Amino acid sequence: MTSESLPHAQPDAVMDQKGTTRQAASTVVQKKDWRRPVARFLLYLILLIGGLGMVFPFVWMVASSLKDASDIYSLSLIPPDPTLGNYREVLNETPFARWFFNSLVVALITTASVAFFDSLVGYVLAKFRFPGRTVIFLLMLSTLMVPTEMLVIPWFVMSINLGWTDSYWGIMFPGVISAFGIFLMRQFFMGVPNDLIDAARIDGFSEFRIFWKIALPLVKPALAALCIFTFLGNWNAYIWPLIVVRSEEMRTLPVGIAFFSSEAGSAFHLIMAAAAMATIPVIIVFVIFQRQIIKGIALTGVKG
Amino acid sequence: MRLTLERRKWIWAYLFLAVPLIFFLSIRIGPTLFAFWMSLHEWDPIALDRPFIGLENYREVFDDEVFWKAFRNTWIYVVVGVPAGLLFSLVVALGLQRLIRFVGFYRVLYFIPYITSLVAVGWVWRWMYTPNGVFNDVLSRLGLPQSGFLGDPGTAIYAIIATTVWQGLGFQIVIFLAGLESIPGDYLDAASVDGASGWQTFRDIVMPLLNPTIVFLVVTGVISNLQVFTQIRSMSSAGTGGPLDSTISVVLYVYQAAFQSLPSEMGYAAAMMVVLFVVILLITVVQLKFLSRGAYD
Amino acid sequence: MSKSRFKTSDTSINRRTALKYGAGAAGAAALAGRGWSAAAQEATPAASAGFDLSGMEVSGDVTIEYWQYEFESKTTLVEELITQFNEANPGITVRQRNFPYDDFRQQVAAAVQAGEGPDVLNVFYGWIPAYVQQQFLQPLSQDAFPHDVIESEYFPMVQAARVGEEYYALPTAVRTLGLFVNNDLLEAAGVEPPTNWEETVEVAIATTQKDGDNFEVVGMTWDIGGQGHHWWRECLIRQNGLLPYSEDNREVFWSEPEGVEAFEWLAAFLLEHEVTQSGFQTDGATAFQNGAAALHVDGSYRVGAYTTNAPELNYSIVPLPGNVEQASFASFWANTITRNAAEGDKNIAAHKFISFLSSPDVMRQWTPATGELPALSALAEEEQFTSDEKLAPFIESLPFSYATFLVDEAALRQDVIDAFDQVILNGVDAATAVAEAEASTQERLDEYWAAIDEG
Repeated sequence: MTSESLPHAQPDAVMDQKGTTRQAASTVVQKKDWRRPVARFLLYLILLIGGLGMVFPFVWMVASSLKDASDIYSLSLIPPDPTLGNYREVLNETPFARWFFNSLVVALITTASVAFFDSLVGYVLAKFRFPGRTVIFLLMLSTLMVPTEMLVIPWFVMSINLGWTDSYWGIMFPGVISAFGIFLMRQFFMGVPNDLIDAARIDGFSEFRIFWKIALPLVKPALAALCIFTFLGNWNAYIWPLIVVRSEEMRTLPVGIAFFSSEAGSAFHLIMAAAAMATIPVIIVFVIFQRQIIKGIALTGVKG
Repeated sequence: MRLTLERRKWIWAYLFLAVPLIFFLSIRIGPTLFAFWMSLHEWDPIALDRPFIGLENYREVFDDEVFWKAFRNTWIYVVVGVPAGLLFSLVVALGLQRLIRFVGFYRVLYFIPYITSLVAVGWVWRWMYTPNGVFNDVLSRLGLPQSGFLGDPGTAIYAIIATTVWQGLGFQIVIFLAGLESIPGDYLDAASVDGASGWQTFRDIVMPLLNPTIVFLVVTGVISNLQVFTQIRSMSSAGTGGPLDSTISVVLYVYQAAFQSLPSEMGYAAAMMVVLFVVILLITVVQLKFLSRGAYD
Repeated sequence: MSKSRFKTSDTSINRRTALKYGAGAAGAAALAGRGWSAAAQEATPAASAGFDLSGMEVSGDVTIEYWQYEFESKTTLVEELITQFNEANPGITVRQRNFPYDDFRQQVAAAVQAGEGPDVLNVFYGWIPAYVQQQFLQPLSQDAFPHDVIESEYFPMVQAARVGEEYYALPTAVRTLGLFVNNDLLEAAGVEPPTNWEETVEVAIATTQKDGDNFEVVGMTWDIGGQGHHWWRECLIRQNGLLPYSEDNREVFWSEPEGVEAFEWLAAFLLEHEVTQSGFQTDGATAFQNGAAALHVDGSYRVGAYTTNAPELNYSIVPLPGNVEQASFASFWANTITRNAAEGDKNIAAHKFISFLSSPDVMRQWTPATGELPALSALAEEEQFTSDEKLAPFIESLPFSYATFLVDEAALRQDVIDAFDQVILNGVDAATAVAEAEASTQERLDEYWAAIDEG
């Protein structure tokens, strides 16, 4: 323990941080002004090094996608003979664009549905008191505890009986509301002050409007996170789409990519190219939504 | 007759919950009950007869050494994986939050493992763990003995946990960031006006306000680690939870019983799943009670 | 407590439904493992014209579904074959559906539970007994496919598709294991491809290259979970002069001294000669493809993958080196009729399609496309196949190739993997590990036969 355990030793230094209040959450010791740029530089450096470690497998994936099939196991990060041949092969020999479109449709619609229903349910569970609240919450939460592998057969029987196989709805229906998101939103709605909601009620807002106009904007960071993960989860979903999809045209990307593997091994050069292309939309979604996570700071007006 | 405000709120609550409840009952709870029903039978999806055998499958589960091995392993995935993931992600999230420039770039860096295709992840990590791979290279440069990693029953499970932690970090960091960014700036301003140090602010203000986030991450982390499956299937030796069952998890074992064993032991798989389900449910309820005391009731 | 990978209780349905097939299965099993006798070779001078199904005609237009796991060269070829079939049988439409190999049983289980699924299903031979017990498969009509024709014209391993009095499947092609040899590495070491156990060890030692403790080239690949378990269980044990199973496939004999010796011979590559490493370049087939392995045991279907992925790899194939005997492992994928096509036009259409897929015409297209060997013994003798230097060693191995009697393929494989891991990782002695594996496999067999015998 150094000076951070001496609360009143450096009041001035702490005061200096007012301009960037978020730093208050840090444990970095800041004794003198000259240390701050150094500390900051170190922080950037350490996070950069860590970050490079994090992206290493991704970089390897992209590098491999640019290698010829016979070079795929040359373990250099720089392709000896860079080629776009794998990409061309994937695009020419499979309905990749169609798979991409299917995944996009499924992921976007599911994300919109989850964002709406999960925030609504999360809000109700966090802010309403009514008989059965705890039971309903646990009931919903308990659905997370059953592995998908055990549910696919009943779902498939259901899909056959209702004629949902080989359709977008068939792929999407198990995921249009998620207990995971309900739990997330509930946790964040719990932090919304009750005073605000009560004040809005007195002002004559309808219950739905209070949710939509008052409470929801306050949990934007969580909502953004939920959108990212729902999109990603559905973009990558494999077990269920594989079973419910019959035709090659209705495959989603992960299902399509799985067909590059077979009994005699996997065509890793094609898998890497397809996987690299599959990553692009997710990065875009992430870049867009992670800004919303920053904007959450705008809610400093909330009074406790 | 006028309803009290209280009653009106009840009605609204049920109204808002109606569609989701119908959804959960039909899409999730129903099939789960169906799995429970299967667990009481000698159930094989392909066979024509599926005789009722009562609790026989459960009796066998409690007698099955491999199941208990898988059960113990599953605990290791949870007890090692969850705290490691939380600690790393909190530290990184606090660091990322202090950044002023290149924020988006840095966040993408840490998020990328989470979006890298699972096939690619399994493949690259297996290469890194091979006898001549990156990790052994580093070990030998440091003058340390080489490790068998995935090939050694003593280390294989930790090698897989390292991958799952690495892969889950992006998710946890984003949730932590959302939690940190939701902390009203006024609280922090007030703390610094009061002259609190960085550590004090963190302990007394940030942590309590972060509690719902942490509860969420602990509970979902435990649930997902209790169900770890894909990484084991793609990384463990022969893909079956080896060597010598040292990495097998309950869900992988369930999968093997249901879909790899021939004839299929679907009823037995369902029984194992029910046992796991009960365990997860109990743990979750206890966690919610303890971690979010006050906020929960 | 008992070690278990899904032992079923005494109330097992499988036991009860199996009654109907009772005694017959024993006979089939006994036949399944028998080698290719000289008589079979002489049986037909030229490839048979196939089967005569002219008596079976569909009464109207009918559509059948054909399911096969994904194997690019096979699925592409079958699409083309369906077109050919349709020209000859205008009333019958065949729709092919594929899914990744790893998800085979999940796909079938989900579909069948929902009352759907394939009419004609391509299955691994080792799954046939279980699927028959489940009453999932329909026997092939004996009028259409007379047993004497099957048994005289096809390789004897195809008899593994017979359960009791009925055949349930016919293959297009069969497979054997051979030894892949990297020519460049052997030449550099100044050694010739091995023909017996002793030479195999010598070649592996001579070709291994190390940098300090690190392997750069392994003399022999190590992949028990790949083909290694077959190599020991069906090939090395027989080569060492021991039958791995009793004639009726009820008893396992691995723990006899010859079996343990064969086990030790294989384990010695890793433990004693130190010419190989578990997990080297992730798996054996990959290491060989990268030119980092001198010897590697694999099937002919691997040739196609190497042609695409490693066009410059200079390798050849020799029959598995023998000891006191010669032996290789045989296996095949075969086409079955499911209970969805139990009767009527669908059943007739399914018969016609299977007959077509097993015809010499199709086999002549199949072998070049997939690297699998023709299932008709006379056809395998045709010059176009025997002159192919990559195929010839596999064809040459057919007379001494045996299809293991598999009651639960994944579990039996696990038994062998565990035995090797016990010895290598836990220092258990070979005799104990083999005895344990034998006991575990014996238990699975006992359970299977108990079900059969109950009737």
